[in-house]
Amino acid sequence: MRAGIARQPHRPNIAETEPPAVPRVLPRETCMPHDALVLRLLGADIRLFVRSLRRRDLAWIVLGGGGLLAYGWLSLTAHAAALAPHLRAHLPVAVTATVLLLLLLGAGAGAFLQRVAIARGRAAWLTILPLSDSALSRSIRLGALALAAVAATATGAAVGALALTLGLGWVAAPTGITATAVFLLDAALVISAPHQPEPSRLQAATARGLRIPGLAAIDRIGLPWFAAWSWGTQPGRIRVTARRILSLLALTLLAYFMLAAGLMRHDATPGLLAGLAGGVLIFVLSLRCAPLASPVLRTAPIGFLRAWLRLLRLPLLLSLAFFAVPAGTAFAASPHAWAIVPESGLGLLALNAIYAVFAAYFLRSTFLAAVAFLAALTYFVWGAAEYGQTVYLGLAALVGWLWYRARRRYRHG
Amino acid sequence: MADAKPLPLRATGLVVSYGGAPIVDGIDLAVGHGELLGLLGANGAGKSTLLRAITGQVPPDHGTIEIGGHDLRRHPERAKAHFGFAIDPDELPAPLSARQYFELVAAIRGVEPMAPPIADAIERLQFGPWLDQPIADCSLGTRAKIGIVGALIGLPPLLIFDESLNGLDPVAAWEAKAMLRNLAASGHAVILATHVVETVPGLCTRAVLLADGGIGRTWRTDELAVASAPTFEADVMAALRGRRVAA
Repeated sequence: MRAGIARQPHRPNIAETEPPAVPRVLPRETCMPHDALVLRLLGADIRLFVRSLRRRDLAWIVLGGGGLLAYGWLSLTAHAAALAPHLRAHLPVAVTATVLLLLLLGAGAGAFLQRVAIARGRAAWLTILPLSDSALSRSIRLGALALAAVAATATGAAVGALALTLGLGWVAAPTGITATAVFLLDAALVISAPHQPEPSRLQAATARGLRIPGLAAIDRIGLPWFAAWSWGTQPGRIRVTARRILSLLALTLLAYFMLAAGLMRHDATPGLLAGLAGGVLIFVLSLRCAPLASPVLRTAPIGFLRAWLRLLRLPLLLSLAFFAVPAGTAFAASPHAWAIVPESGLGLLALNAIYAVFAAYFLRSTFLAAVAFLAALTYFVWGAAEYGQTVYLGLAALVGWLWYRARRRYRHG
Repeated sequence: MADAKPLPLRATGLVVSYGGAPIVDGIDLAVGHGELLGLLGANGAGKSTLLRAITGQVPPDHGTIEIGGHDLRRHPERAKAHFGFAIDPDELPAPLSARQYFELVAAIRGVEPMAPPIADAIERLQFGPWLDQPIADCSLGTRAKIGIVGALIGLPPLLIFDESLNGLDPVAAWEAKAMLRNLAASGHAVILATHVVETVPGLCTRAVLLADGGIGRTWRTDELAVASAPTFEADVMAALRGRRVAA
């Protein structure tokens, strides 16, 4: 060996290296803790969302949303304090109503969180990894349950604080804890229900669906195929699911009972209410604005208003078709009150138009659009009951702002 | 005498950033009638971001974009009537068939969906048998062909293709390149972003290399005319490596 030259250890090149042995079974200690996988993905999504917001938008959400929540809370507690003697006098009714509301909220939150967790846990990139189906299901349930626990705690705290406002004293704390438990158990029941993986966009698009005579002909008029595209079905078809059939059945039964009640009492109001609620529900369930985010429209010479109106056409027709039957029957029940029928029709159009603006803003999630629409309506109807009709100017301003933002995003990204 | 026709594309001082980091940083780019511009660059160089800004999909932080003389920000619909953009295969409306997609685009542009140039393009790209199948059932290559034909509907003055030749079979790729040449020869401005460097000398009349958010190098028509595919490829590699070392 020559002096001054250090002997280098032999480093095999790629051709000389042995292929790594593939372990047949991974030792337990080297496995990833899969249970928290979906929870970690959800956390990463939340962090990414916050980081992607501009500071100005974040400030709007925190300060504006916080201010609205604070006002809503103060208004609620003020009303609760004013109604305290009445509520204490009818405690069983108040408790039953609260429990029913908690069950409704818990089930809704559970269904939503289950969908959110499934979207992460059944993502295509996870399905090709060596993870068992049971491990993924457990991780999905755990992720959804963790978020449900946060929501349940917040709800329980709110119920406990309201109980304090009602002057229930030491009972407030157990009331809050019970409310948390009811909410969480209900949400957990929904989350634990067996779930089917969501079909991929391509799988959904190739699903044949049920052919509806005349639907393709209507969808072809003017700018063609917007409805089929937005629904993710082939033209002239709708996708039939058990959930949709049940929803339609429940809606029809409700409308039937309300119409029967109206006919018996010669009163148009129940029928019109059923028509209005059903019409809005049909519109909410059938309107999809996702094509407004597509480069197909955004790079084409079509304005936001024209594209948006075209997306509304078929859902609006379905909504008006549903409204027509109860409205006609309501008119038959009480012909002298005919003026209320066109008024309700205009109300339906106004509500649908407001929802359509929410749907254009929250174009990726019908659920978020519907929740925001309901929350805004409740908020402003509540405010108007307290401060008068001028409060609706706030609703108009909110709708105008959402419209402006949706149009701006469509035009300039 | 100065040409009275406005340029198909004029972008000035264009800056586009994501999350505060500039991806496109002060680009000036003009494309004239009859030009076929090759847009080159490494992954993340800003090619797609530049094309998204030009097609109105992301807002520029600074700078102006004029398409056919219309400011994209102030008159987006008028500007968008002057270009056709080959939609990415994954962004096409999956439940519709190619024919229905063409009907939709043609109705927006106010033209016939199956006018002779479109029917000819369908025949040349050989996807007639899939014309009435849902796009979701089509292969990646067939969806790429649908995107290319969709851009040609109405034959707007500026045609933009972002790596649209990827996934095409050899015959379709050859036909697509011939179509692009014919379009440029008939006075259309064409932009083709591509990683297939060797196709540029025989196809494009000008090429620019994007690097570090700006235009790193430009090849004029006369330079491309004398360059062979291997020499041009070596030239591009040297330019890319040079930028990387400098960075």
